[in-house]
Amino acid sequence: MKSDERIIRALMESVREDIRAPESLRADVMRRVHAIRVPVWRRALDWVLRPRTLRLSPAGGLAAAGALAVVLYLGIGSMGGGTPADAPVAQENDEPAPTRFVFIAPEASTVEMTGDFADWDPGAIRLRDERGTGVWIADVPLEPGVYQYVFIVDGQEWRPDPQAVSQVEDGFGRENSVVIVSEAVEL
Amino acid sequence: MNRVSLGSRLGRLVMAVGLVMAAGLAIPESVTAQDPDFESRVPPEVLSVVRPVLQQASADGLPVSALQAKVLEGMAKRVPAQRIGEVVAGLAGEFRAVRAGLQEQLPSVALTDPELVAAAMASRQGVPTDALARVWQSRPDASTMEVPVTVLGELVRRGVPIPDAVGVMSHVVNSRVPMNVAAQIPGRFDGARGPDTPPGAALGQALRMLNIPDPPIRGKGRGPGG
Amino acid sequence: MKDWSDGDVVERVLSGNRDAFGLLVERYQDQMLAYVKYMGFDDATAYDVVQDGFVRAFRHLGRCGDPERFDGWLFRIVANLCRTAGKRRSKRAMEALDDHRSTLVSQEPTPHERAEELDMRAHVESALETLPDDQREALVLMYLQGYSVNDIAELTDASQSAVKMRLKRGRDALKDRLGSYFTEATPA
Repeated sequence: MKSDERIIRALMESVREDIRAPESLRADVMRRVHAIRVPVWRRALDWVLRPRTLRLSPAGGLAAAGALAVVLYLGIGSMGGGTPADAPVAQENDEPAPTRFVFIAPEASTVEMTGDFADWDPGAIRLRDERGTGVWIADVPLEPGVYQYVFIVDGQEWRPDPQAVSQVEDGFGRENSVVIVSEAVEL
Repeated sequence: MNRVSLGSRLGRLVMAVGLVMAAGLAIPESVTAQDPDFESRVPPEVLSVVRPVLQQASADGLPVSALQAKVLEGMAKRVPAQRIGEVVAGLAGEFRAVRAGLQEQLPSVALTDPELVAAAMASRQGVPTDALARVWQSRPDASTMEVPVTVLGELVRRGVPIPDAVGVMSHVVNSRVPMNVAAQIPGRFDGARGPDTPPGAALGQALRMLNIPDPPIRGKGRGPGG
Repeated sequence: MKDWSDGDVVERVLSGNRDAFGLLVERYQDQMLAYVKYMGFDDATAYDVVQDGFVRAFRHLGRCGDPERFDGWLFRIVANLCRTAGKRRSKRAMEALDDHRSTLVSQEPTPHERAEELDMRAHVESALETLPDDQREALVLMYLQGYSVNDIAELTDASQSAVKMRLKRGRDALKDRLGSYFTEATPA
């Protein structure tokens, strides 16, 4: 080793410390982690679409494709029922039970919804009128909490939800609907 | 950098001081103030208006994600940048005020972001800070106050007298009524409310429909519904 | 549970087990904190940066390309946060300066070696302050955190030759600023 290199090492060593993270760091991180409300539908999408370096067995590949199908076709709802009592229960992988949103618009060609849980991305979630009766439904997995949302009819009309527990002013001259999501039962 | 001879102690001291002064003592910016994820979705004309508000909010420990959501909402609704800036600044101010008010009454309270957002909403709906604080104080454990505070705001907005609403929600929180039940109170209230059923009575009916026992009657006040 | 690889833990977190993320925090918090402090941030800021780094890693965990290399991905997040954190790192040089000053004004007889140590540390810290981030980072990763040139190239998403150049320039700069240590007889 050249003597310069030796000196560099000694100089750098002089700033070395035994650095240990305080106990509180982990607790602080986990507190924030648990408080984060990642929109579950987006998390599921991330998980399915992330770059994969793992080899998938044929069964694993099918499972992934299945998960993707569920995420993309959220409006269908795996039970096909029309009442809250038929809402699917939480799956085994800890996903919350979906919250059902219903909007009645017989004249509409498309109904979408968005809200703070979807970063207000218009068209984030598409409702489906399966029976062609103008009753539009979407089942959205949401962690417990309070959310604001609106429906968007035919891509242009922003409409509040008449069935919502509350409407609040958005500050921009319009109103958002409020949904309260709690464990087990959707409202 | 000037080369100063390190041969003398004075020289080394001068150099160290010079380096420190050159580095400057800028006012600290919060490390979360610049969020590339968020900023990549916001056009420059909006970003320039909202960034100072978000940075200050971040430095002050306010719910930045709620403010960011408001920006994204404004963009989705095609609101002019200036207006978005005003609304976000106003919202940050509400957060600040509510937090200060609550901390004055409950100095050791640790507010999570969702709780503070809910408290600000309730405040906007007419719930005074001391009412919020009273419900907060009835919390028996560390479970979140987000839903009870939201329900409190909803009741007050519907005309329930504040002492009644506070009494009910304090009781609901303290007796650990499940949140999925508590969240149904406003809806049941709406069902019970009619021209012959004043808010207090409607609230009492709502509680009974949900099998929530009436709160204990304190002092001179009657329980909801008389 | 402790036998889980980083990849195992990431999969579990992504399947909904948030608590499992705590394992990753435990595994890498010391290392991340050390890096941020060595890059010149004071204790409080370093704590915040590392905390924010982990939280951001959690939020974007779905985008971690290779979960078995979580630590490298985490490092990039933390290094980015350092870059945007601005000039508060001057605090650390000030702390070193304070140490230095206290030996100058101390009335008590200070062992000669201790004074020399403090001097050296303060000088090196100040000298590191003057380096561009990429050079400082390369020196820190190599000499204080034990990474090879290859490792550093992967961590910083640079070519090996770029890393070698940063190391060389960093060493030259140190020699330039701390010349007296290279001409005095220094214990190895």
